[in-house]
Amino acid sequence: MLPFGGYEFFVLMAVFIGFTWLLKLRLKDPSYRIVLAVFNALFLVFFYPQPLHFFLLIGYAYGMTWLLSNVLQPAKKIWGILLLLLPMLLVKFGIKVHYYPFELNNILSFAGLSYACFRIVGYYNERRNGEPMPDVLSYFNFLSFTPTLLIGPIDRYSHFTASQSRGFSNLNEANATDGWNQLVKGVAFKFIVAECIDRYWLNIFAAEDIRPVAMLNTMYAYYAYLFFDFAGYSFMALGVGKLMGMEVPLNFTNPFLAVNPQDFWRRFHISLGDWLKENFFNPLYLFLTRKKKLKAYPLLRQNVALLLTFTLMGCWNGFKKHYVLSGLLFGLYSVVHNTYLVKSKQAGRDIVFGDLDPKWIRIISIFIMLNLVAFALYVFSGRFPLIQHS
Amino acid sequence: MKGRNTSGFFKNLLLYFCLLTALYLLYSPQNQHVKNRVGSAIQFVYQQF
Repeated sequence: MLPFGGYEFFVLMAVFIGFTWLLKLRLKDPSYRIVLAVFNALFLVFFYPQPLHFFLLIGYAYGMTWLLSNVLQPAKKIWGILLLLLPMLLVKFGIKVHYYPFELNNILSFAGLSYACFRIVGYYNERRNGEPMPDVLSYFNFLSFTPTLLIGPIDRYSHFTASQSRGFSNLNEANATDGWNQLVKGVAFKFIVAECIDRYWLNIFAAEDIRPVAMLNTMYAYYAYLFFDFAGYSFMALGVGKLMGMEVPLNFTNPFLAVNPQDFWRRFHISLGDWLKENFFNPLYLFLTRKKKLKAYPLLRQNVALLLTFTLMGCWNGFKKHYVLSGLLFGLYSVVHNTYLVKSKQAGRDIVFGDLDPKWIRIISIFIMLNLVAFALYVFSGRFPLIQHS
Repeated sequence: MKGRNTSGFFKNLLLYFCLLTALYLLYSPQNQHVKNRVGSAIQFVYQQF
Protein backbone atom coordinates (compact mmCIF):
# COMPACT_ATOMS: atom_id res chain seq x y z
CA MET A 1 0.00 0.00 0.00
CA LEU A 2 1.37 3.41 -0.97
CA PRO A 3 0.45 6.63 0.90
CA PHE A 4 -2.90 8.05 -0.31
CA GLY A 5 -3.10 5.26 -2.89
CA GLY A 6 -6.59 4.21 -1.85
CA TYR A 7 -9.31 3.86 0.71
CA GLU A 8 -7.36 1.48 2.98
CA PHE A 9 -4.66 4.07 3.60
CA PHE A 10 -7.20 6.54 5.00
CA VAL A 11 -8.60 3.89 7.34
CA LEU A 12 -5.10 3.11 8.56
CA MET A 13 -4.31 6.79 9.10
CA ALA A 14 -7.59 7.25 11.00
CA VAL A 15 -6.50 4.42 13.32
CA PHE A 16 -3.01 5.97 13.76
CA ILE A 17 -4.51 9.41 14.43
CA GLY A 18 -7.05 7.96 16.88
CA PHE A 19 -4.30 6.16 18.81
CA THR A 20 -2.13 9.30 18.90
CA TRP A 21 -5.00 11.31 20.41
CA LEU A 22 -5.67 8.53 22.94
CA LEU A 23 -1.99 8.33 23.89
CA LYS A 24 -1.98 12.09 24.49
CA LEU A 25 -4.08 11.39 27.59
CA ARG A 26 -1.45 9.02 29.01
CA LEU A 27 1.97 10.09 27.74
CA LYS A 28 4.15 13.17 28.07
CA ASP A 29 5.50 15.26 25.15
CA PRO A 30 8.99 13.63 24.95
CA SER A 31 7.36 10.25 24.23
CA TYR A 32 5.75 11.67 21.09
CA ARG A 33 8.73 10.93 18.83
CA ILE A 34 8.71 7.30 20.03
CA VAL A 35 4.99 7.00 19.22
CA LEU A 36 5.65 8.53 15.81
CA ALA A 37 8.57 6.17 15.18
CA VAL A 38 6.42 3.15 16.08
CA PHE A 39 3.67 4.26 13.67
CA ASN A 40 6.16 4.98 10.87
CA ALA A 41 7.89 1.63 11.40
CA LEU A 42 4.57 -0.24 11.51
CA PHE A 43 3.52 1.33 8.23
CA LEU A 44 6.82 0.48 6.57
CA VAL A 45 6.96 -3.09 7.85
CA PHE A 46 3.36 -4.16 7.32
CA PHE A 47 2.05 -1.99 4.50
CA TYR A 48 4.88 -0.47 2.42
CA PRO A 49 5.75 -2.55 -0.65
CA GLN A 50 9.53 -2.65 -0.05
CA PRO A 51 10.25 -2.03 3.67
CA LEU A 52 13.74 -3.57 3.69
CA HIS A 53 14.81 -1.24 0.90
CA PHE A 54 13.75 1.80 2.89
CA PHE A 55 15.39 0.65 6.12
CA LEU A 56 18.63 -0.06 4.25
CA LEU A 57 18.61 3.42 2.71
CA ILE A 58 18.05 5.06 6.11
CA GLY A 59 20.87 2.96 7.59
CA TYR A 60 23.16 3.88 4.70
CA ALA A 61 22.30 7.60 4.96
CA TYR A 62 22.81 7.72 8.74
CA GLY A 63 26.06 5.74 8.58
CA MET A 64 27.40 7.78 5.69
CA THR A 65 26.48 11.09 7.36
CA TRP A 66 28.37 9.95 10.48
CA LEU A 67 31.34 8.82 8.39
CA LEU A 68 31.43 12.09 6.46
CA SER A 69 31.16 14.21 9.59
CA ASN A 70 33.59 12.30 11.80
CA VAL A 71 36.04 10.41 9.62
CA LEU A 72 36.16 11.52 5.99
CA GLN A 73 35.39 15.23 6.58
CA PRO A 74 35.71 16.20 2.89
CA ALA A 75 36.92 19.74 2.20
CA LYS A 76 34.06 20.26 -0.22
CA LYS A 77 30.52 19.21 0.61
CA ILE A 78 29.86 18.13 -2.96
CA TRP A 79 31.81 14.87 -2.35
CA GLY A 80 29.65 14.12 0.66
CA ILE A 81 26.50 14.85 -1.33
CA LEU A 82 27.60 12.54 -4.15
CA LEU A 83 28.32 9.74 -1.67
CA LEU A 84 24.92 10.22 -0.03
CA LEU A 85 23.25 10.20 -3.42
CA LEU A 86 25.15 7.13 -4.63
CA PRO A 87 22.17 4.72 -4.35
CA MET A 88 19.93 7.08 -6.29
CA LEU A 89 22.59 7.88 -8.90
CA LEU A 90 23.04 4.16 -9.60
CA VAL A 91 19.30 3.87 -10.17
CA LYS A 92 18.90 7.05 -12.23
CA PHE A 93 21.89 6.26 -14.46
CA GLY A 94 20.70 2.68 -14.78
CA ILE A 95 24.07 1.33 -13.61
CA LYS A 96 23.58 -2.34 -12.84
CA VAL A 97 25.80 -4.03 -10.29
CA HIS A 98 25.40 -7.78 -10.00
CA TYR A 99 26.99 -9.36 -7.01
CA TYR A 100 26.24 -12.72 -5.48
CA PRO A 101 23.98 -13.31 -3.49
CA PHE A 102 21.86 -10.36 -4.65
CA GLU A 103 21.57 -7.90 -7.46
CA LEU A 104 22.37 -4.50 -5.97
CA ASN A 105 19.87 -2.64 -8.14
CA ASN A 106 17.02 -4.71 -6.79
CA ILE A 107 17.53 -3.27 -3.32
CA LEU A 108 18.22 0.30 -4.46
CA SER A 109 15.15 1.06 -6.52
CA PHE A 110 11.85 1.66 -4.74
CA ALA A 111 8.98 4.16 -4.59
CA GLY A 112 9.95 7.23 -2.60
CA LEU A 113 13.72 6.96 -3.22
CA SER A 114 14.03 10.43 -4.81
CA TYR A 115 12.21 12.26 -2.04
CA ALA A 116 14.11 10.39 0.66
CA CYS A 117 17.33 11.50 -1.07
CA PHE A 118 16.13 15.13 -1.15
CA ARG A 119 15.71 14.97 2.62
CA ILE A 120 19.02 13.13 3.21
CA VAL A 121 21.00 15.75 1.26
CA GLY A 122 18.96 18.59 2.81
CA TYR A 123 19.90 17.41 6.29
CA TYR A 124 23.59 16.95 5.39
CA ASN A 125 23.76 20.52 4.05
CA GLU A 126 21.85 21.87 7.04
CA ARG A 127 24.38 20.37 9.47
CA ARG A 128 26.91 22.73 10.98
CA ASN A 129 30.58 21.70 11.45
CA GLY A 130 31.07 19.75 14.67
CA GLU A 131 27.36 19.33 15.26
CA PRO A 132 26.58 16.02 17.03
CA MET A 133 24.73 13.35 15.07
CA PRO A 134 20.93 13.51 15.33
CA ASP A 135 19.21 10.92 17.48
CA VAL A 136 18.35 7.83 15.46
CA LEU A 137 14.59 8.02 16.10
CA SER A 138 14.25 11.63 14.94
CA TYR A 139 16.33 10.91 11.83
CA PHE A 140 14.21 7.85 11.13
CA ASN A 141 10.98 9.84 11.61
CA PHE A 142 12.27 12.63 9.39
CA LEU A 143 12.92 10.26 6.50
CA SER A 144 9.97 7.93 6.96
CA PHE A 145 7.13 10.22 8.12
CA THR A 146 4.24 8.34 6.49
CA PRO A 147 2.16 11.21 5.00
CA THR A 148 5.19 12.71 3.19
CA LEU A 149 6.98 9.45 2.46
CA LEU A 150 6.28 9.20 -1.24
CA ILE A 151 6.33 12.61 -2.91
CA GLY A 152 6.88 15.20 -0.21
CA PRO A 153 6.48 18.03 0.63
CA ILE A 154 10.22 18.13 1.37
CA ASP A 155 10.65 19.31 4.93
CA ARG A 156 13.78 20.73 6.58
CA TYR A 157 15.19 18.64 9.43
CA SER A 158 15.22 21.61 11.83
CA HIS A 159 11.57 22.41 11.03
CA PHE A 160 10.55 18.77 11.37
CA THR A 161 12.25 18.25 14.73
CA ALA A 162 10.90 21.57 16.06
CA SER A 163 7.40 20.35 15.25
CA GLN A 164 8.17 16.91 16.68
CA SER A 165 9.52 18.35 19.93
CA ARG A 166 6.24 20.17 20.58
CA GLY A 167 4.87 16.66 20.82
CA PHE A 168 1.34 16.02 21.93
CA SER A 169 0.74 19.78 22.51
CA ASN A 170 0.22 20.07 18.75
CA LEU A 171 -2.85 17.86 19.08
CA ASN A 172 -5.41 20.56 19.75
CA GLU A 173 -8.76 21.62 18.36
CA ALA A 174 -7.43 24.40 16.13
CA ASN A 175 -4.85 22.12 14.45
CA ALA A 176 -7.38 19.30 14.12
CA THR A 177 -9.91 21.58 12.40
CA ASP A 178 -7.27 23.02 10.09
CA GLY A 179 -5.87 19.55 9.34
CA TRP A 180 -9.33 18.19 8.54
CA ASN A 181 -10.05 21.12 6.19
CA GLN A 182 -6.73 20.60 4.37
CA LEU A 183 -7.45 16.88 4.10
CA VAL A 184 -10.92 17.48 2.61
CA LYS A 185 -9.44 20.02 0.18
CA GLY A 186 -6.81 17.48 -0.85
CA VAL A 187 -9.40 14.74 -1.37
CA ALA A 188 -11.52 17.09 -3.49
CA PHE A 189 -8.50 18.14 -5.57
CA LYS A 190 -7.04 14.68 -6.15
CA PHE A 191 -9.95 12.27 -6.12
CA ILE A 192 -12.56 14.52 -7.73
CA VAL A 193 -11.07 17.36 -9.81
CA ALA A 194 -7.87 15.60 -11.01
CA GLU A 195 -9.80 12.38 -11.63
CA CYS A 196 -12.43 14.25 -13.70
CA ILE A 197 -9.72 15.98 -15.74
CA ASP A 198 -7.98 12.65 -16.36
CA ARG A 199 -11.17 10.85 -17.35
CA TYR A 200 -13.06 13.49 -19.28
CA TRP A 201 -10.61 16.14 -20.55
CA LEU A 202 -6.98 15.04 -20.79
CA ASN A 203 -7.51 12.20 -23.21
CA ILE A 204 -10.00 13.80 -25.62
CA PHE A 205 -7.27 13.79 -28.28
CA ALA A 206 -4.55 11.18 -28.75
CA ALA A 207 -1.11 12.22 -27.52
CA GLU A 208 0.28 11.71 -31.06
CA ASP A 209 -2.25 14.16 -32.59
CA ILE A 210 -0.24 17.14 -33.89
CA ARG A 211 -3.15 19.42 -34.78
CA PRO A 212 -2.83 22.72 -32.85
CA VAL A 213 -6.22 22.31 -31.18
CA ALA A 214 -5.27 18.83 -29.90
CA MET A 215 -1.86 19.96 -28.65
CA LEU A 216 -3.27 23.04 -26.91
CA ASN A 217 -6.00 20.93 -25.30
CA THR A 218 -3.50 18.38 -23.96
CA MET A 219 -1.16 21.15 -22.81
CA TYR A 220 -3.76 22.96 -20.68
CA ALA A 221 -5.42 19.74 -19.50
CA TYR A 222 -2.09 18.28 -18.35
CA TYR A 223 -1.16 21.43 -16.40
CA ALA A 224 -4.55 21.41 -14.68
CA TYR A 225 -4.32 17.66 -14.03
CA LEU A 226 -0.78 17.83 -12.63
CA PHE A 227 -1.66 20.72 -10.35
CA PHE A 228 -4.84 19.20 -8.90
CA ASP A 229 -3.30 15.75 -8.54
CA PHE A 230 -0.06 16.90 -6.94
CA ALA A 231 -1.55 19.74 -4.89
CA GLY A 232 -4.28 17.34 -3.76
CA TYR A 233 -1.65 14.89 -2.56
CA SER A 234 0.26 17.68 -0.79
CA PHE A 235 -2.85 19.05 0.95
CA MET A 236 -3.77 15.55 2.11
CA ALA A 237 -0.22 15.08 3.47
CA LEU A 238 -0.48 18.44 5.22
CA GLY A 239 -3.90 17.58 6.65
CA VAL A 240 -3.01 14.09 7.88
CA GLY A 241 0.27 15.45 9.27
CA LYS A 242 -1.58 18.12 11.23
CA LEU A 243 -4.13 15.62 12.53
CA MET A 244 -1.18 13.53 13.76
CA GLY A 245 0.36 16.61 15.40
CA MET A 246 3.05 17.43 12.82
CA GLU A 247 3.48 20.62 10.79
CA VAL A 248 4.04 19.75 7.12
CA PRO A 249 5.15 22.69 4.91
CA LEU A 250 2.67 24.18 2.44
CA ASN A 251 3.52 23.09 -1.09
CA PHE A 252 1.07 24.88 -3.40
CA THR A 253 -0.63 28.26 -3.37
CA ASN A 254 -2.43 29.41 -6.55
CA PRO A 255 0.34 28.80 -9.14
CA PHE A 256 -2.03 29.86 -11.94
CA LEU A 257 -1.67 33.43 -10.65
CA ALA A 258 2.13 33.52 -10.89
CA VAL A 259 3.44 36.63 -12.65
CA ASN A 260 7.01 35.45 -13.29
CA PRO A 261 9.18 32.30 -12.90
CA GLN A 262 10.43 33.38 -9.46
CA ASP A 263 6.85 33.88 -8.30
CA PHE A 264 5.83 30.56 -9.86
CA TRP A 265 8.33 28.56 -7.75
CA ARG A 266 7.01 30.32 -4.66
CA ARG A 267 3.57 28.93 -5.51
CA PHE A 268 4.15 25.57 -7.24
CA HIS A 269 5.94 22.73 -5.43
CA ILE A 270 7.29 25.33 -3.00
CA SER A 271 9.34 22.84 -1.00
CA LEU A 272 11.22 21.70 -4.14
CA GLY A 273 11.92 25.32 -5.14
CA ASP A 274 13.26 26.06 -1.64
CA TRP A 275 15.31 22.85 -1.61
CA LEU A 276 16.90 23.63 -4.97
CA LYS A 277 17.67 27.19 -3.91
CA GLU A 278 19.29 26.20 -0.62
CA ASN A 279 21.07 23.06 -1.73
CA PHE A 280 22.07 23.78 -5.29
CA PHE A 281 21.59 27.36 -6.50
CA ASN A 282 23.17 29.15 -3.50
CA PRO A 283 26.32 26.92 -3.27
CA LEU A 284 26.73 27.00 -7.04
CA TYR A 285 26.37 30.79 -7.19
CA LEU A 286 28.90 31.10 -4.36
CA PHE A 287 31.28 28.79 -6.24
CA LEU A 288 30.94 30.88 -9.42
CA THR A 289 31.37 34.13 -7.46
CA ARG A 290 34.77 32.89 -6.23
CA LYS A 291 35.96 32.40 -9.83
CA LYS A 292 38.18 35.36 -10.69
CA LYS A 293 37.32 35.20 -14.41
CA LEU A 294 33.61 35.63 -13.63
CA LYS A 295 34.07 38.44 -11.09
CA ALA A 296 33.09 41.12 -13.60
CA TYR A 297 29.98 39.29 -14.83
CA PRO A 298 27.42 39.04 -12.02
CA LEU A 299 24.48 38.60 -14.46
CA LEU A 300 26.26 35.76 -16.24
CA ARG A 301 26.98 34.05 -12.90
CA GLN A 302 23.34 34.29 -11.85
CA ASN A 303 22.08 33.02 -15.19
CA VAL A 304 24.52 30.08 -15.35
CA ALA A 305 23.53 29.07 -11.80
CA LEU A 306 19.82 29.36 -12.68
CA LEU A 307 20.12 27.34 -15.88
CA LEU A 308 22.13 24.57 -14.20
CA THR A 309 19.75 24.44 -11.21
CA PHE A 310 16.68 23.90 -13.37
CA THR A 311 18.47 21.45 -15.66
CA LEU A 312 19.36 19.44 -12.57
CA MET A 313 15.71 19.56 -11.54
CA GLY A 314 14.79 18.09 -14.93
CA CYS A 315 17.45 15.38 -14.66
CA TRP A 316 16.28 14.46 -11.16
CA ASN A 317 13.11 13.01 -12.65
CA GLY A 318 15.18 10.74 -14.88
CA PHE A 319 17.60 11.08 -17.76
CA LYS A 320 14.90 11.15 -20.40
CA LYS A 321 14.87 13.75 -23.14
CA HIS A 322 11.52 15.24 -22.13
CA TYR A 323 12.51 15.64 -18.47
CA VAL A 324 15.83 17.32 -19.27
CA LEU A 325 14.21 19.58 -21.89
CA SER A 326 11.47 20.70 -19.52
CA GLY A 327 14.11 21.52 -16.90
CA LEU A 328 16.05 23.50 -19.51
CA LEU A 329 12.87 25.38 -20.46
CA PHE A 330 12.18 26.35 -16.85
CA GLY A 331 15.84 27.41 -16.60
CA LEU A 332 15.53 29.48 -19.74
CA TYR A 333 12.39 31.23 -18.43
CA SER A 334 14.24 32.16 -15.25
CA VAL A 335 17.30 33.38 -17.18
CA VAL A 336 15.16 35.63 -19.43
CA HIS A 337 13.23 37.01 -16.45
CA ASN A 338 16.41 37.60 -14.43
CA THR A 339 18.03 39.41 -17.37
CA TYR A 340 14.89 41.53 -17.80
CA LEU A 341 14.98 42.49 -14.09
CA VAL A 342 18.67 43.43 -14.14
CA LYS A 343 18.45 45.36 -17.40
CA SER A 344 15.32 47.21 -16.24
CA LYS A 345 17.12 48.18 -13.03
CA GLN A 346 20.13 49.41 -15.03
CA ALA A 347 17.90 51.40 -17.40
CA GLY A 348 15.86 52.83 -14.53
CA ARG A 349 12.59 51.84 -16.23
CA ASP A 350 10.63 48.74 -17.24
CA ILE A 351 12.31 47.79 -20.54
CA VAL A 352 9.39 45.62 -21.71
CA PHE A 353 6.17 47.18 -20.42
CA GLY A 354 7.30 50.82 -20.20
CA ASP A 355 4.67 52.99 -18.54
CA LEU A 356 1.79 50.53 -18.92
CA ASP A 357 -0.80 50.42 -16.13
CA PRO A 358 0.43 47.96 -13.40
CA LYS A 359 -2.99 46.26 -13.49
CA TRP A 360 -2.48 45.42 -17.17
CA ILE A 361 1.14 44.39 -16.58
CA ARG A 362 -0.13 41.92 -13.99
CA ILE A 363 -2.83 40.49 -16.28
CA ILE A 364 -0.42 40.12 -19.23
CA SER A 365 2.27 38.59 -16.98
CA ILE A 366 -0.16 36.01 -15.59
CA PHE A 367 -1.28 35.09 -19.11
CA ILE A 368 2.29 34.73 -20.40
CA MET A 369 3.43 32.75 -17.34
CA LEU A 370 0.44 30.42 -17.45
CA ASN A 371 1.18 29.51 -21.05
CA LEU A 372 4.94 29.19 -20.60
CA VAL A 373 4.49 26.88 -17.60
CA ALA A 374 1.79 24.86 -19.35
CA PHE A 375 4.17 24.35 -22.29
CA ALA A 376 7.14 23.32 -20.11
CA LEU A 377 4.93 20.85 -18.22
CA TYR A 378 3.52 19.58 -21.52
CA VAL A 379 7.09 18.74 -22.55
CA PHE A 380 7.68 17.23 -19.08
CA SER A 381 4.64 14.98 -19.48
CA GLY A 382 6.22 13.15 -22.39
CA ARG A 383 3.03 13.77 -24.40
CA PHE A 384 4.50 16.53 -26.58
CA PRO A 385 4.41 14.77 -29.97
CA LEU A 386 7.20 16.77 -31.59
CA ILE A 387 9.86 15.31 -29.30
CA GLN A 388 11.00 11.80 -30.03
CA HIS A 389 11.27 9.84 -26.80
CA SER A 390 14.60 8.40 -25.88
CA MET B 1 -22.98 35.59 15.60
CA LYS B 2 -25.47 32.75 15.93
CA GLY B 3 -26.79 33.45 12.42
CA ARG B 4 -23.28 33.27 10.98
CA ASN B 5 -22.66 29.92 12.71
CA THR B 6 -25.92 28.51 11.36
CA SER B 7 -25.18 29.65 7.80
CA GLY B 8 -21.63 28.23 8.12
CA PHE B 9 -23.06 24.92 9.25
CA PHE B 10 -25.42 24.71 6.28
CA LYS B 11 -22.67 25.76 3.87
CA ASN B 12 -20.46 22.97 5.22
CA LEU B 13 -23.34 20.52 5.02
CA LEU B 14 -23.91 21.44 1.37
CA LEU B 15 -20.19 21.22 0.63
CA TYR B 16 -19.85 17.74 2.15
CA PHE B 17 -23.02 16.59 0.39
CA CYS B 18 -21.58 17.76 -2.95
CA LEU B 19 -18.21 16.11 -2.28
CA LEU B 20 -19.75 12.79 -1.30
CA THR B 21 -22.09 12.87 -4.29
CA ALA B 22 -19.16 13.57 -6.62
CA LEU B 23 -17.16 10.71 -5.07
CA TYR B 24 -20.15 8.40 -5.42
CA LEU B 25 -20.74 9.39 -9.06
CA LEU B 26 -17.07 8.91 -9.94
CA TYR B 27 -16.29 5.71 -8.11
CA SER B 28 -19.51 3.72 -7.71
CA PRO B 29 -19.87 0.57 -9.84
CA GLN B 30 -22.65 2.40 -11.75
CA ASN B 31 -19.97 4.57 -13.40
CA GLN B 32 -18.92 2.54 -16.44
CA HIS B 33 -15.87 4.65 -17.35
CA VAL B 34 -12.85 2.48 -18.24
CA LYS B 35 -10.74 4.29 -15.65
CA ASN B 36 -13.18 3.39 -12.89
CA ARG B 37 -11.34 0.15 -12.40
CA VAL B 38 -13.23 -2.81 -10.99
CA GLY B 39 -11.55 -3.82 -7.77
CA SER B 40 -10.07 -0.38 -7.23
CA ALA B 41 -9.65 0.60 -3.61
CA ILE B 42 -12.84 2.65 -3.40
CA GLN B 43 -14.96 0.02 -5.15
CA PHE B 44 -13.70 -2.31 -2.45
CA VAL B 45 -15.92 -0.36 -0.03
CA TYR B 46 -19.01 -1.15 -2.05
CA GLN B 47 -18.18 -4.84 -2.20
CA GLN B 48 -18.24 -4.98 1.59
CA PHE B 49 -21.87 -3.95 1.92
